[in-house]
Amino acid sequence: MKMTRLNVENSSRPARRVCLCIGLLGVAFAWGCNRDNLRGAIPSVAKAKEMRFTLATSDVGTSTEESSGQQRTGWGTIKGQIRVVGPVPPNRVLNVNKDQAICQPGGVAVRGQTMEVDPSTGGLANVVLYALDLEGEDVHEDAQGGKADSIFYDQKVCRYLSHVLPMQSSQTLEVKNSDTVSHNTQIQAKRGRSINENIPPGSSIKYSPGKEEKEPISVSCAVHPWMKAYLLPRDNGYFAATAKDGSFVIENLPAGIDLSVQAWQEKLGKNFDGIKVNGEPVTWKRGRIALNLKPDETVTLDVEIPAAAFQ
Amino acid sequence: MRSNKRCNDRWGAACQPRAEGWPDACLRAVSWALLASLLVGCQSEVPYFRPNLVEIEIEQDASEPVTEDQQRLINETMLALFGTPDRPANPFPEDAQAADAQSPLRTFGFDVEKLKVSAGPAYRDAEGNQHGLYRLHCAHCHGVTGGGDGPTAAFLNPYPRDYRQGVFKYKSTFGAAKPTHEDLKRVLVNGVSGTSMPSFRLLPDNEIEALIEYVRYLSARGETEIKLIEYMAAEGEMPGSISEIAGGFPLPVDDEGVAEEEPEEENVVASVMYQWKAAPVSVIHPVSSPVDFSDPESTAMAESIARGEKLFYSKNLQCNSCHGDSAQGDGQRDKYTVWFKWREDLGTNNDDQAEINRVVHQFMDVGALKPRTIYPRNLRLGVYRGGRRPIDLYRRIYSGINGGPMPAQGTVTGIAGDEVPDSEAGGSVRREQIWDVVSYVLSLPYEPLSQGPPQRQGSKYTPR
Repeated sequence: MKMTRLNVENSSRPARRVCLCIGLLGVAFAWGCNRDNLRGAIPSVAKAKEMRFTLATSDVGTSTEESSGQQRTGWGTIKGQIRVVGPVPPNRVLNVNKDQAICQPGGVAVRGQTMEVDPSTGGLANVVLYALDLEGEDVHEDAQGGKADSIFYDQKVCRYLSHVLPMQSSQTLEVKNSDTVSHNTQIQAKRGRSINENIPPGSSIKYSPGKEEKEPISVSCAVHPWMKAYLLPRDNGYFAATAKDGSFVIENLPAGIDLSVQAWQEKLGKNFDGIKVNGEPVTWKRGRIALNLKPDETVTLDVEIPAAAFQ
Repeated sequence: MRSNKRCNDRWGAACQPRAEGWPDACLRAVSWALLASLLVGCQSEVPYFRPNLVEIEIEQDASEPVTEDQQRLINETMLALFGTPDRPANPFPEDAQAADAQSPLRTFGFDVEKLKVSAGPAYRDAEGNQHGLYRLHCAHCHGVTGGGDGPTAAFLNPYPRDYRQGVFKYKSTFGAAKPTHEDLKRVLVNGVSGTSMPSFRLLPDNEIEALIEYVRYLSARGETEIKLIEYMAAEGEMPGSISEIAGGFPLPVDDEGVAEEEPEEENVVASVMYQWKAAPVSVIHPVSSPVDFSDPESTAMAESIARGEKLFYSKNLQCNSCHGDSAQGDGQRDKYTVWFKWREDLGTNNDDQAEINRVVHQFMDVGALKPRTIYPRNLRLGVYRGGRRPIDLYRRIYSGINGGPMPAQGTVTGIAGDEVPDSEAGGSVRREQIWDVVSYVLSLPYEPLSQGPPQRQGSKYTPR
């Protein structure tokens, strides 16, 4: 090493540069080949060992049900309106590259439904709100799960007529195809049943999710890839999708219990940063509204989302 | 350090710096350094399971990212439950207590002896038994983790299967059900025609069996990890204690050994293993075929082919909408499979190239392969990835292809074959008609394309 340095000092400039380059190359080689930027967080072996010993010694599968210790005092309601403040960018023009005669009548450009804002009120449609982690005694009889009726779910002009549809996981969806071309309905569930079935013109198929989902799942059509909608199967009836004017109501929620109401919007997901509720800036962590209702109370939430959130 | 006494040896010229030009000496020094770094640096890493950073990227909220500590907790849990690529059953061999304890993999229902043969470095023992089968035969394409991301993966089309989603395409079961043992075996023994997946027919049966078990293990491992990531991203915590995550075993089974009741959500591993165990229930049994496929020259076959052609182009099946009017696979070509769900989520219609580039880079930075759309099969080549037997094609049409856009023409109620009457089976066509489509598809490679398809009576197809 010492020799090399000595030599470099004695040498001419260009030659020194060459030597430097080769040296750097060597360093890069030595440095680069052993690194993996996809390694992620390195687990602690000691902690993993500890988990393994816990497993070896515990009765596997015993779950510890924790109870909040809160007692339901009655029933309450939340309602409100979700509005967008400011001009939102228009929805994307869909690339209808097939069956135009049926899917694009008159050749008029078809736009997506990612953000459906009512021009007069600013109301934002298709936001779903659903109460999390409620079961047993805390569920009012009107919101009780186990509904087994059938919901009519139609598609026409290559569009799902309900863009975001909350339902009970025990209900059945009658997926109809009212077009004169075949559609296939691909429902990609995370926990419940996934399907991808062809539906000839005029006929229908039945779909029962079987399980609750934590987030809306996608409904799409491979034949017409621009078609997109969402389903949200839940175990009880505590859900609402906002109407055209952005209004929603969830009734008969248990009072006296800490509630967590999840909000979800197609474009925003669960990220409701920068919103105002009843004029006050509010943070919904993970898109969740935390509240505790008094008996027979109706909480009104007037939610304003800045248009910038949709950029 | 070299002593002056050895300066006369062959490589000792550096001892006499002034006697020769400095570039030689410098080059020599650098060369030595390079050689040393090559020798030392590149072989030091022990193979490890790569965390599914792509899934974290998909699941995490922009406002609530999965922190490094949370990722570490997931990785520690994975290590405790599924071990390492070298030691799946017992990752802590130096610890007597760990060595004595029963491996959780046994509890999960894996044949640990088979896993041991497949795992670890490849070598042959004194008795001539091959070890490290997975790394010998599979890892260069499918990756050590089974993420379909081995060193050669990026150069293959189609990409190797990523087992971690727990989604398999070519199988005998309906819809999203897992493949049966025989399905995986068929893929290993026959390979997948038209892809880089070769046949492993020459391996002895016990080695194939060991590999199947290892693939099941990698898949269950990967799916468990995805479920943990999903939960962590949504809730900011694990779905339960380690005992709960590994709990729910033994799975309750009926008289025939088929799992019957689905485990609780927090029993993450059990929820995954249940799907594997329940697979045989979903096997598609076809209705009896109206034609004899062993006699392709018969009049009955010609009639079946003609019926099949009509169905192929009918409004009900509309096979041509994706496979193309000439059945060369040139119809719908802009969809992505579940393995590129992050790209599909951007929207097939998205023409915002800047956004696409940004997202593609974001995901490729965490290890995703460059996304490719899925092409429908060119049916005129006579190459069938899922097998060329008529029953394979029947099942492909009946159930669609899991993970991809190909939809099912049948329903789950009709999988029992002749036992279920047509009136109850549902589906877009009567099941017998699926055999006609099979006849037609099998005849397509023999139909001279240059002359255009024959204009059969009643055919709705008109060449463009």
